[in-house]
Amino acid sequence: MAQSNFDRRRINGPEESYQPIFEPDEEVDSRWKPGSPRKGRAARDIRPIFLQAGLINQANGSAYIETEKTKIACAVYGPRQSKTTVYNEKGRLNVEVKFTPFSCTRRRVPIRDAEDRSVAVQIQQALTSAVRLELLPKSTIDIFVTIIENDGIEGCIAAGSVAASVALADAGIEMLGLVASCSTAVVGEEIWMDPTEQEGHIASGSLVYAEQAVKCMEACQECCTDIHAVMAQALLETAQNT
Amino acid sequence: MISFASFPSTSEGSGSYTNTRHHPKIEEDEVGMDLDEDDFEEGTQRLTVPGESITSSHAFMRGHGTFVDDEEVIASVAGTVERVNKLITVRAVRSRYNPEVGDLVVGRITEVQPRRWKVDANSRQDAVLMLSSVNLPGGVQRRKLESDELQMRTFFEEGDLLVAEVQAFFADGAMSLHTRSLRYGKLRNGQLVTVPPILIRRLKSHFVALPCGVDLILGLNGYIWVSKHVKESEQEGEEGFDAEAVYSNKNDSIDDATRIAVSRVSNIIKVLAAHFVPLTDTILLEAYEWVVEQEGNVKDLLSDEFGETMVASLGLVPISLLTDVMHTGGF
Repeated sequence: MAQSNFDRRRINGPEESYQPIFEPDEEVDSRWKPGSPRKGRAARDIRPIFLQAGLINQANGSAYIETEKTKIACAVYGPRQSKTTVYNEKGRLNVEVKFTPFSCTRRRVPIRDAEDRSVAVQIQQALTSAVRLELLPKSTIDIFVTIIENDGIEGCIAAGSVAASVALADAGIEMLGLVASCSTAVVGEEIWMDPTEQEGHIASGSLVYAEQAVKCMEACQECCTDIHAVMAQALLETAQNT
Repeated sequence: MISFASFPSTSEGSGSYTNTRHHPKIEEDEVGMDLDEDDFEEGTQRLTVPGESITSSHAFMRGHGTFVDDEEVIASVAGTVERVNKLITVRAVRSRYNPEVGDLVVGRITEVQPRRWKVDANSRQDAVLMLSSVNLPGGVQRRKLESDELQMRTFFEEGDLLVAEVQAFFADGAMSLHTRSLRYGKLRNGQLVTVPPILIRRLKSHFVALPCGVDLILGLNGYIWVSKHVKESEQEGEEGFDAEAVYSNKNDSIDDATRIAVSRVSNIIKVLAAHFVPLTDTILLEAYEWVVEQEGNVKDLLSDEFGETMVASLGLVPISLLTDVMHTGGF
């Protein structure tokens, strides 16, 4: 097994390795019990968002988003001419998601896997309806989403689409609107907004909602309004500074 | 820099949602604000984001960067709102180049195809340079023969830089270029500097000869060619149209003083672009004289500190602070 995964082109770690011993977190100790309220914030609270556009110079547009332990960088290249010779009246939106090896609690092998692709597909679905692709014949927009730190895959999809949408706006690409997105999880009787990875484990179901898309939906919609304001603010500040 | 961390961290209870909205600083109407006609007064500047309603579509017409939905003009890009009479446009700060017929562009050949070259000109699609729209050796005007088609790579090869003019558009919006002037053609004896296209303004002439022995070609697509000065009399004349010289891949010999001048001008352009100062020949000339006075090393130009001093001491303003120069031709 180890031999088959051996990649000579990369710097490989030692054959035997041990996990470093960390001081146990307080949160890990205090397990959530059914019926007790959510730790740290109210059920309908989202994590604070830091969002800035235009941090990657060589890209046509870029954005960086941070919601506590979820950290995502997004770069947009294009619209540029598609490499394929087939004529296409509408533009294409390519989304590529990459996890850094240190993004999760377990090390991720730097090879694309099924999870990367499913995240990419969901982000692409959230964005496609918002981008005015009919104005970009023969062109491709490449979106590269790098997940630097992952705290819950639902949160990554939501934050990834928020960052990608701001990066598209930063690149000056025509859109019908900004895509705000928010995740939610059903834990016990309650609806918890923007769950972290630990909270995701105890949830009985989760939902990612992207505006421009029941109770969970309503809650998400309100959060999306808030997130939209943050996105607008970030873009306006970038425009102001340039 | 923004960080919204205004919610109480100890709100453990099931407090009503309205009390725990996270971004109380931003009122609804601040984001989705509507414009009255007064807001469009000359000299004021308004920023907008995609999806934001700008004004009613009854009173105004939609221009670039906007669309109409539900009787409202809505922005589709992030940038500054501009108004010319009844026409509302939104101009993005960092968008790709939008070509117009007659624009001077600098481009790079990406592909050689039957009877045409594909040129990267920083646009949404590759530009096309037809074999029929270049000057060929042996007389400026003549029919293109099969032999010309076979030796297209002797004129332009992949990777060659050229200066051309936008001639027309194809049905799908791709631009067609032409080099049917003695000023256009292959570029040599210099280096390319890339800046955001919004920083290049339409000038009387985009061929600028600085007195320091440097020629500039300010392509409207944001590509700038900085090269050694060629004397008017030594330019390839109409009479002795010399294919060898026009399509040559060899640089002339360039002395050290010219090399320093070329790199100094390139660095000045890079610094001005980093500070989002729109480029004109007068600004470049002032900046060049100022830099020569400072007697610094050419490479020191690129330090943040030096750049800021230069922009400040020349009193240059970034593009976002300039208003209504776009369409009214304020220069």
